[in-house]
Amino acid sequence: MTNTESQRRAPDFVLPDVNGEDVSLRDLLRAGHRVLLVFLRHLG
Amino acid sequence: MAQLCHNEAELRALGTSVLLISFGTPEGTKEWLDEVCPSFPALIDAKRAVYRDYELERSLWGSWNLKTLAYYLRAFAQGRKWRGIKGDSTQLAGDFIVNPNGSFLLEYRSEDPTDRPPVADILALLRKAAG
Repeated sequence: MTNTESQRRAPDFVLPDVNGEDVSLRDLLRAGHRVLLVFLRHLG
Repeated sequence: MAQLCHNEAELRALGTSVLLISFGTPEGTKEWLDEVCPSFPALIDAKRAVYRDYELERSLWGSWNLKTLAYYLRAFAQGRKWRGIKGDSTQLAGDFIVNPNGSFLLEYRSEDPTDRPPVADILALLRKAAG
């Protein structure tokens, strides 16, 4: 695995979940969590 | 994805929230989640603006090559269900770990659909970061 740990900041975003509720990356980070973002391909 | 799901308890114990990001419809994504990994929340990025912000590319050759076809043939032979192609099949995926201060612990952009970071490596990184 290529680990590219960096001081670059992750772009912030707010996106709706599958029920339409907004989720903010910044809010999760403020709560002291690390966040694993898994970007999916198409759902086939 | 199934392997990641199986390690949900350890991820939580390591103080890590998992967010899946899809460009599918909410209904299609919910259906997929129910079959594959119901415990993780999924967010919808229909316009793929966040995909672009995280520099995830689209690639026809990267998405559909012999390695990909071999992967799918193996998966179907092992009983994976064919769901059809929903959405842009050239969109490549990626995995990122973001530290509480907003910096990246991991930036991983897939070069083809079979190219994802091993779950064991993700857990090792998180254990190390947790001290």
